[in-house]
Amino acid sequence: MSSQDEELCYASAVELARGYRARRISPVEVIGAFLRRIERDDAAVGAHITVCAASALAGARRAEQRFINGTPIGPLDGIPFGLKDLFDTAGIVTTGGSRHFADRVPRRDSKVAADLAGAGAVLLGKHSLFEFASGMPELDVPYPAARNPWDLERVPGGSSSGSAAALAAGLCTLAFGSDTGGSIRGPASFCGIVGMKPSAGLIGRSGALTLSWTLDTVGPMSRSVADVATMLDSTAGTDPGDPGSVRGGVPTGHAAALDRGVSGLRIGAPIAVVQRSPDLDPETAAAYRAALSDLEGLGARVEEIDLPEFEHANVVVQSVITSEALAYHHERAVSQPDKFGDVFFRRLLQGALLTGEEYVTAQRGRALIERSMRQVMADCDLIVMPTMPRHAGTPAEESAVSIWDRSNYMRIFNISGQPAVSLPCGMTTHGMPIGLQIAGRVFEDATVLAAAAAYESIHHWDRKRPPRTGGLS
Amino acid sequence: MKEDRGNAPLPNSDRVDAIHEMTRLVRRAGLEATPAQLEALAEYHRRWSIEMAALRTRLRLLERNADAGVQE
Repeated sequence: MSSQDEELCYASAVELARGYRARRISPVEVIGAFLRRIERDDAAVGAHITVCAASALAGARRAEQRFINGTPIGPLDGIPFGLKDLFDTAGIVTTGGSRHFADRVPRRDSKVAADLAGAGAVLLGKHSLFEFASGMPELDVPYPAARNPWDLERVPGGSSSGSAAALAAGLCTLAFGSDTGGSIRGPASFCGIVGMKPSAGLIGRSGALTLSWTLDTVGPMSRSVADVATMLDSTAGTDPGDPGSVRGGVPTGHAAALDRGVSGLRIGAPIAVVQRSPDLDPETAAAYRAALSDLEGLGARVEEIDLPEFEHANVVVQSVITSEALAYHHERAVSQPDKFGDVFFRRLLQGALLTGEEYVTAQRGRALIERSMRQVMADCDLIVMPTMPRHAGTPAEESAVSIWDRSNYMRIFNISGQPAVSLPCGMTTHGMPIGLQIAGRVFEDATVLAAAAAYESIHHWDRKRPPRTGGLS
Repeated sequence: MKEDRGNAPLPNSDRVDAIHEMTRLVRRAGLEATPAQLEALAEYHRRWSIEMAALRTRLRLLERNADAGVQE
């Protein structure tokens, strides 16, 4: 692989678009570089379930013609992207990472796939995921469990594992994932990329397979904050097919607001909540403190805050996800349980434990947390905390820890519907990325992204690449 | 010091009863599970019940405070 291919595969969407407009590079050239790289590295990384080589080249040729004609569609025209394989794509198999849907070929695009295609972006492939977006990597499903490009012996996180791994390994420029309890931000943290869970309802979910009707959120992933903001602008909006979608008054202009910075903003730092975590890694704690100091240096006012109902977030999310997942998959679980992988089927069994009264209690807990977070946000513009308490472990290390003993700083924002982004904030001595999470008020996604862009501009962790990108083995 | 939220394993004497209860709940939902799945489920349920009890206590406290006109 040439060094030019390497540079194209790690260029941001903003840089590729600039190159297309100046006619220095062409979409066909870029897609060709990605297909060669996927051919070389994907067997090791395991990021793809389907590679759409022929349709991607055709899409690149159409984009190229638009640039020749002087009629590009916009900032995503000709930019390669991948989708977590739970977004329906017309005529392309959409498996959900499950044997149940191995031959499922949708007739229509999901809202996200249609929006990105409409913006001229080119679908390179469908990314691997934990089965039906929950649990842990499965060995008894017919799809690859993605590996972490920073260390192939370690997990990339999940469930949007293939998307995060593909971005870190330079196998796509943009990706879209889903986040029900941290499934975009966790992998983003473990793989050293940027992943955003937008405000609930901001991006339509129609045509995306369901894990939990009331908690699922879909969102953009990339290697830079600017690219994430551009994707958000191209996909935010009312979705008539999604009952949870925003109706009217859709916030826009996220990319244009990136240079607002953080000067004068009040940042809440839940330091005591973070320090109480039994599994907090000292290097993560140090990177967090340094990031708070950096944000202060950028003009923000950092104040320690409490998150009063934080301790109940885990049981609320577990109860809601497992109950709703079982409701969604019940018929399949009864009639063809053996087609599920063991890990996901165990999740469905957990959903069978709850009575109706217990599900309602969990929803009351959710309302309590939502109300509490609104009160917290009355006194601060942003909340900043680590994304994960530690860096990525090996599959054995990850599966050895009970879900009840695992600190989770992300789920509280799924419950509250707040926007939250994870971006890199350092590297451990093991050479693994550390993630910083920035959350804001509902529908103030632009403030979150502006703070992330300001932080990113100091260190440019986004420019770091896994050590073996010259040839994963 | 790690907070005690039920990290200790299930005592053997309670294991059989717990697995029996898991079997009942799983069948109530029309499902079947293997012995290994039931065992893991019993452990999950034990930890989940502790967390759910803490949430119930919090909700009841807020209800009582609301009834008494106390604002949190």
